Amino acid sequence: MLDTDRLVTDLLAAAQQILGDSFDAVRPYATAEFRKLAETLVLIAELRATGAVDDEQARLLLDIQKNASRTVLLTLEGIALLTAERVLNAALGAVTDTINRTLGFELL
Amino acid sequence: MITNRRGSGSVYLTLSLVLLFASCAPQFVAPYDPATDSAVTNVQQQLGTLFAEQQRTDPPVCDYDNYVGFYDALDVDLGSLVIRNEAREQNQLTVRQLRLLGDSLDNLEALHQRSGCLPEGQIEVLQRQFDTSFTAILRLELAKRR
Repeated sequence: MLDTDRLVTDLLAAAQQILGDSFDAVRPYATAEFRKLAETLVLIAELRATGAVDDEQARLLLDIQKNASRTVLLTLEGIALLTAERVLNAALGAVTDTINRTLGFELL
Repeated sequence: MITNRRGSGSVYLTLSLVLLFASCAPQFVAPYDPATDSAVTNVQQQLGTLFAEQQRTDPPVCDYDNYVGFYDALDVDLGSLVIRNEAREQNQLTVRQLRLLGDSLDNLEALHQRSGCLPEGQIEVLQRQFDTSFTAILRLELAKRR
């Protein structure tokens, strides 16, 4: 029997390792999506165990599942990049203000 | 004197970098594209219709043979979407997501073909899986609004 909570914990740990500090920005979304993914994985296992799908059908469902998981990870990566971009632009904005104030005119 | 020259060099370097970045705010990800948002939503609606039809119809209406044209049309729509997104700079994440979606649609077609009609148990799983994929793609696209 697959343990949904354990699956979610493992997925979160993997994502946190990849994203580092940026992970906090996406934690709520990641947690919700990883829970859905883990529950769906359990459903696929149940379908196979009860004979509702054969091996080939189970393989096709698992492939779709892998693709869905990768798609979520790519979104997490994108949001982390956008967060880094916002931080960098904010920092540059702060430097610009300081330089303009120091020079006494709007250089930047 | 040497120290002063080094100091001046650092100031010029810093100013140059600031000017460079300030003149064009760096973007690590492509901007939001409403056409992509709309096209992804359209593909999602087509799949929603497929699942609803599979749930409320019986064989032979729900047979794969009656859906070959549907999958072909979906393939064309997604192909156009991939090409559009490949043409956008800094957009590899979305392109990869759309390719994964295309791969999943191929798997869905193979599943439909093998099953004849999609049974209820499979539909429940498929709806969850595609909802996750579409939500992820749209969430990234919407996050590109700055």
